[in-house]
Amino acid sequence: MLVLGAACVAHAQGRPPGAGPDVPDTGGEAEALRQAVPPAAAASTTARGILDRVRPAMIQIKGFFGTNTAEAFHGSGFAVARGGVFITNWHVVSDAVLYPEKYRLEYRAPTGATGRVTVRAIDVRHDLALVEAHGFAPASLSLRPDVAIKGERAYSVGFPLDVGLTITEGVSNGRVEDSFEPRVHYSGALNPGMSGGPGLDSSANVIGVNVAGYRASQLVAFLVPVEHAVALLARAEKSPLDARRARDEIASQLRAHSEALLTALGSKLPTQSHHGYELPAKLAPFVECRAAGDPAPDQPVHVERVTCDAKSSVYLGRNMYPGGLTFQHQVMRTYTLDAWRFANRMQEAKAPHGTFGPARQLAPFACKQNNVELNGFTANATVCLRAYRKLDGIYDLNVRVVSKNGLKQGFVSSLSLTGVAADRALAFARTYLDAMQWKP
Amino acid sequence: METVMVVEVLGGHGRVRARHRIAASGGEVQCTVGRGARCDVVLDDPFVAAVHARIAVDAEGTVTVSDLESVNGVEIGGRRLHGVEQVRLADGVLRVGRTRLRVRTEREVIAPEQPDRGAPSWQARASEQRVLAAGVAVSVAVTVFEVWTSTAQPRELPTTLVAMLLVMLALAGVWIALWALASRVAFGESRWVRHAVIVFVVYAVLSVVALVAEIVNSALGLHVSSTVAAAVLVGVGASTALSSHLVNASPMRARIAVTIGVTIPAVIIAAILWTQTRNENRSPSHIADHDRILPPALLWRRGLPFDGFTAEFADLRARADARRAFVEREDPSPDEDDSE
Repeated sequence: MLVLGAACVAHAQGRPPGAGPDVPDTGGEAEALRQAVPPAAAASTTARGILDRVRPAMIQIKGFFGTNTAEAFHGSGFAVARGGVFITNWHVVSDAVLYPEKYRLEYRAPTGATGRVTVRAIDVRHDLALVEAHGFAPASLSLRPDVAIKGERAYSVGFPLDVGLTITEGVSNGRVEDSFEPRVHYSGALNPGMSGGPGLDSSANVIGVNVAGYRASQLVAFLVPVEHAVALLARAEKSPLDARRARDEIASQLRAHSEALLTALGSKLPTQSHHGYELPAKLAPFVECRAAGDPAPDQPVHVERVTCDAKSSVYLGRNMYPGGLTFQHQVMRTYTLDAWRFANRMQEAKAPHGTFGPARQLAPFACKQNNVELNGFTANATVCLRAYRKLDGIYDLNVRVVSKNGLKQGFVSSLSLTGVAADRALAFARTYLDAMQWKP
Repeated sequence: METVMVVEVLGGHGRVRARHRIAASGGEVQCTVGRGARCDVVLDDPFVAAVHARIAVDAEGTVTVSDLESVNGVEIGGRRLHGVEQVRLADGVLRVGRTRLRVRTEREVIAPEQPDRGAPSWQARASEQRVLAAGVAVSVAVTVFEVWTSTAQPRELPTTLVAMLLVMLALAGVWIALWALASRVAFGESRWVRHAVIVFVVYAVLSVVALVAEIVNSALGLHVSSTVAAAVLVGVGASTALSSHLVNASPMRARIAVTIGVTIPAVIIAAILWTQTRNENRSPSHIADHDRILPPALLWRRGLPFDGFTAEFADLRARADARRAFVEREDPSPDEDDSE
């Protein structure tokens, strides 16, 4: 999926050998290209102009572990307000916010100026952070909150792979359709280290903030629409964010995120029939569902797997992507097996159960398991809740339902809802169970 | 007036290897012990002299042992005597060289005859063999049933079945052979039927009870923790088996054998259970499953009504918070795991 978060933050070892600190804006190769392909020449001239205008407002943000002078991670940032206020990605500064005693942040401007960076405000949902670069206050870039139209020329600037300030050129494909989190689809190169840099239109107005690219795809990248940067700027505080307040802020942002997600899903879930069982299906346009199965005709048990993902998880920190909603149904049928052996296959199908997560961040599950009468059939349901260890009032929900009414058919369904308030999660568990129905 | 004594040569495990009956001659009962052919009791022991000792019984029935100037002397009640020295024998046992002898006289108190209420020996053997046959039959049946239940592709059933049965019988065979060897060392007899009975009966009972318990647990929707139930069941089975094996394969007293047989499995299982529970109580990824899917016909009790079930969610939050408080207190900084 998305190469979000830490993956975007190039680590020191990811740096290509021999890469210098600065890469010239145009080189001999570009010069050759300019002669070969005339339309690109005009664009590149624009790129040069944009880079000249953007360069003074850019900083590279570097994170250091302890007192080390070798960096632990890095990203980009650009000036959005007077007084040295910069926008970057939350995932660039998350380690320093969550573990201020272990990490420190510094900036390095293209002019060579360096200094301390403090975080002033965060927006975990949209992966944004507002930081202050001490002793460096360039003129800010102008923000353009309306989303660029599909096909408009766009540019992205940042410090990819620690090879120096770089501009890439591409096309804005407008707002991503069927995405829970607002994203601008930028068809251009976005590489680790460019996180937090600006996405620009051809007049050097900021249309978004570089956030993610698909590692396996070509030139499919995303920008956070700049309106969220504007909103963050509006509620920035004067004092730096301490870890305690940051955690409260994260918790409340996660609650707002899951509240928005569950509200978008509604209280009556759409279902699809699977051999007599009505099971929750594509709950909303932004939920992505895939169905597959073993096509071999002579298997004693035919299994269909439907997996749905709201793709709504947000990067929180190392190995932590809460805010997501996924569910899976395994619908099983047999023509050849008797009821006893079929029941045993069902038993095996539910066996690899359990969701993983870092033990430092998550407490163990508390569960409730029982046989329950759902609409028209008996099922065994397990509903589990686990608390986040460092965030108050945030939980993960895990539900597993196994049908118990079929001699020759049945299903195992599991639901995972992460980073959500407890009562909201349990209400959704109820909605999920209530949607299931046996309609032979 | 004593007329006879019996000198028994003892072998391993206190068994009598040879018995010499000495009649009175010339008014007294006595005999010589040694390697020489002239002795009354001839021993084949390199640590015994040609004529090593003399044993006599006087008119009062008192046994007197004289060492006949042997190199190694005679050992009586933990004391070794040398030279011509006469010692009264109390419990009837003495050691000459490395051979133990027991002297019995007419005055020995003989325990009364015990009435034999048991079945004749052939019958006892036959009933033991019947139990063994039953145990083997049930064990094989359980294994066949398990394989039949769990083989994913029915056409692979014969091969899996043969393989599983061979493995089961081979493992049982090795186990029985080891215990039979221990019995042979301890008692001089293998008792392999006894050990086979123990293995197969315990396995059969354990499997049947486990299966029935699992079915009842799920059919009634009890959701009893299978971890604890399984540990208890395996513990009882292992204790029974080990105690029975030990009683039949070691000369120690039955009470000690049972104590050892119960303690070892109990300690091991308790340790495993403790470790497992401890890890589960700290792991963010563990979700217990206390239910087995059974055919609908075995669902003997209806499930909870929907509202009743969802009403039970009420305390989940408090329990999740309690688990959070527990790990924050007991395990504040676990190793960063590399799952995901």
